[in-house]
Amino acid sequence: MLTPLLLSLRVAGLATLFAIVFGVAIAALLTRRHSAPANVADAVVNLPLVLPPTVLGYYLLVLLGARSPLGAWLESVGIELVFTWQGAVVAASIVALPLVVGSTRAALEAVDPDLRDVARTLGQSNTAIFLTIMLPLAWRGLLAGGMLAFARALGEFGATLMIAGNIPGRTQTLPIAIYDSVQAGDLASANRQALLLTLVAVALLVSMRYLGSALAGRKMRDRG
Amino acid sequence: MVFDNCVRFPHALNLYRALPAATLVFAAACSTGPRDEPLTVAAAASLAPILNELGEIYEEQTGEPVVFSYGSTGNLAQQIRNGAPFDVFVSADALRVDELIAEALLDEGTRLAFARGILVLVEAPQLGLSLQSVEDLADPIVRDVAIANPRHAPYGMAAAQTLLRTGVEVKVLPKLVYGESVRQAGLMVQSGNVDAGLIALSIAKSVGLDGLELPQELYDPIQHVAAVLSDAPRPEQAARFLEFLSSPQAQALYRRLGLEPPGG
Repeated sequence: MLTPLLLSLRVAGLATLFAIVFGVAIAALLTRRHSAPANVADAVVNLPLVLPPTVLGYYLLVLLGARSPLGAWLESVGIELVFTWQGAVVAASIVALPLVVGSTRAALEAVDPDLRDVARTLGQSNTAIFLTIMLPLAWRGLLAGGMLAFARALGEFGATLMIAGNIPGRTQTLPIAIYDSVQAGDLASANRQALLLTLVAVALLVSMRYLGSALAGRKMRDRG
Repeated sequence: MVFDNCVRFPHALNLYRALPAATLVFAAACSTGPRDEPLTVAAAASLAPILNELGEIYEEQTGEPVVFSYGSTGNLAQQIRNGAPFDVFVSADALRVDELIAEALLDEGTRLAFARGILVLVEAPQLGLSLQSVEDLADPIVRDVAIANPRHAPYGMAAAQTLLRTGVEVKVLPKLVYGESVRQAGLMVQSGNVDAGLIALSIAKSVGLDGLELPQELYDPIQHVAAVLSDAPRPEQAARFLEFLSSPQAQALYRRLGLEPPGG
């Protein structure tokens, strides 16, 4: 029971990391842009929110599987994604990505544009402005996005089952272990695993809330 | 004042600097090919009760751990086509194995028909329907009938053939409820959520349902066939496991848990 939990935490943790790295970059590129290509890019990034996870999993399998050119190339350089836990990370990252992009972008757009303009008149480069002004002011949005991403990645099931399969000890995350137990009629295990996942989720949500209010409290004091 | 804020949130910047490093660590973790993992067997879900027990005996005798990934035969065949890192495929039908052999994904020399499956009629225990034959499924007192999905589960295929050959398909078709695998179809009946079902004897026994055996001519033989994958990561262990599947000890277990010998 511990193995699926640890695997779930590892997959969700790494997926959150990837979603933040790529999500922040994408949010930075899309902020305050409303051209046609930007709108299409925005739609593509948000697809995982709309499409059923099984469809995403199927796309990933077709794209990365042994029979695709990309999958064959990845295998030739020693990266195996299909039916490995790394594949589960890819699936969870993609479903979590729009959550990071959405909240980071909203936070970036809420930053007063005058600050950026002032920094520019003082000779700062765009990268420096983003790293030292925009991102620090938008950190709450980023944090919220990261929390949502972790929560979504931890509960990911459909796409993971399609691309990583159900291999105990290797790709069987806690949600998939619960599915497997129910399928096998092993309801005692299913109950234990479901309770464990629920407890972990509640513990995470509560600690996130404390973290959020602790940070908010410090900000208040700083201002005062 | 707002600029004060920027200075006072160094943690955000540290996080940003830490990310590329973490990404590199992850990439390194990805590139190491894990080859010391245990023998991995993709097996038809109908065989789960039998293989779990067999796996324990095998581990005791050889000291080699074995991991089973259960699914319906059709789904597992598809996973093998997509490059799943299994060593052995244990299929509930010969067709899927022969297709994969033709595609050079399974090693033809290792093909082993080790047992034959039996389809039974089961009913939800609390209802007291006392069904006597497949024809009884057409009776209106049976509200729904669980079978495995015939598109990818061999026992589902056999159940569909049985309904067709009995001539009750028109009346039973609207009542059908499809399980993802025959294991799930069995659980639907055992839990009382579905009135009756056509499932594997091995599943009926494992969930404590009394199964009524059906005449053999109602469905094509459900051959259980195993083979080693052409690019199995652990071919020697895989060969040993196949040998064990046809051992007298395993054969005795099949009989007890609801399978027939492959030939007769």
